[in-house]
Amino acid sequence: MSRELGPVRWIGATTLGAAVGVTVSTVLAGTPGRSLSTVAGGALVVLGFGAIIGLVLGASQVLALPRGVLPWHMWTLATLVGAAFGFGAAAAVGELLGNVIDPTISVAVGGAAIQITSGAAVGLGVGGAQSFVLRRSVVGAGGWWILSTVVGAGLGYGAAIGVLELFDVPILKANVILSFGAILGLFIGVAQGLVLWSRGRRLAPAPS
Amino acid sequence: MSGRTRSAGRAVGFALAALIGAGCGDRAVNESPSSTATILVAPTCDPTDQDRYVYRPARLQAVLPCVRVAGTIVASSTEADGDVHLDVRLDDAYVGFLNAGNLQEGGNLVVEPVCRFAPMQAEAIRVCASDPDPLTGALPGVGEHVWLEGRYALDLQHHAWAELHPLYRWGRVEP
Repeated sequence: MSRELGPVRWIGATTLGAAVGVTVSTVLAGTPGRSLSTVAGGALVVLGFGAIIGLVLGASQVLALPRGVLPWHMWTLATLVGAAFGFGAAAAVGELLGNVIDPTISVAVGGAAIQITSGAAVGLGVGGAQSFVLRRSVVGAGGWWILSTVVGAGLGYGAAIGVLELFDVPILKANVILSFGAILGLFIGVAQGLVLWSRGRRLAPAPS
Repeated sequence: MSGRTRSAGRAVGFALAALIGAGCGDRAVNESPSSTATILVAPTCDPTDQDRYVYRPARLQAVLPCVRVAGTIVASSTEADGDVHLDVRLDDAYVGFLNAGNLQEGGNLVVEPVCRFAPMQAEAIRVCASDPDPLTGALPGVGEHVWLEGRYALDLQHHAWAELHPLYRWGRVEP
């Protein structure tokens, strides 16, 4: 049996999941996470920050899928682990580039390079981990899934920070955290959706 | 001498003059910098450890480790780098802290407490995650007349405007 996957559901679930995940994670990384801030120079907090985003994002995406198409627990776990390491890598890459790139060059150019590269690292973590689960149901989608998530997260990260930092849009500025997550999730959702529609539009149930 | 260096030199001069006049030295201040207000604050201006948690430190040119200013908050916004951005209309006694770059901010001093929340901007994520004791509690609201203490720096990414970055502490100026 095969089932249809609606594009609007996938994009909506990914956007909502990232927005809520980033918001929840930001709250938890605040006062509760501060007690762990001295562990490994904050690395543990960063991993936890990403893991919570991945947990909410993965759970939200599972809800958008037809029942039984993917093993929900594996998908959620993969997204959690992928986002943890993805955000860990993004933080490391971002800090490295931030200290290498001349701060006096254009904020738009220097900032874009840092954020897009860091976002791509998030996408590599999330897409790579999810591809292990997805390839059981969507044959041959693994490589495209990783590529699309890297591109979507890279552009989404850059767009989110760019919009929030360079443009004075009151509703976005008043909800910086939620807006960042929503923009990032929207780009990832569209990029991943393109792969689902082109290669896995008719999904097979997960093998038992 | 470059323009930036001259600008920094002028700023140091203004800052030293303001330090003497504003009570960051060793005497209590009990007169308003601009009218009849009293600054209720300890007479010292001690840096905290927050300057260690400024991400990408090369973007800021530190001028003085700690200064105190007074003024009115005219705008406040959160930023994706975890900082809060305050625009402060300085009282007359402190306008020497401003430079030409501050015209980009409406002639206001920029004041930024750092790591107020977990940042999304990649280069700030780990730095703020390692900060065990950021400035917590409420920040002054728009319209409040306050004193503020922080590191005096020039933001090289933004027209080299003058900032207190990071903000160490603040309090209300009682009328």
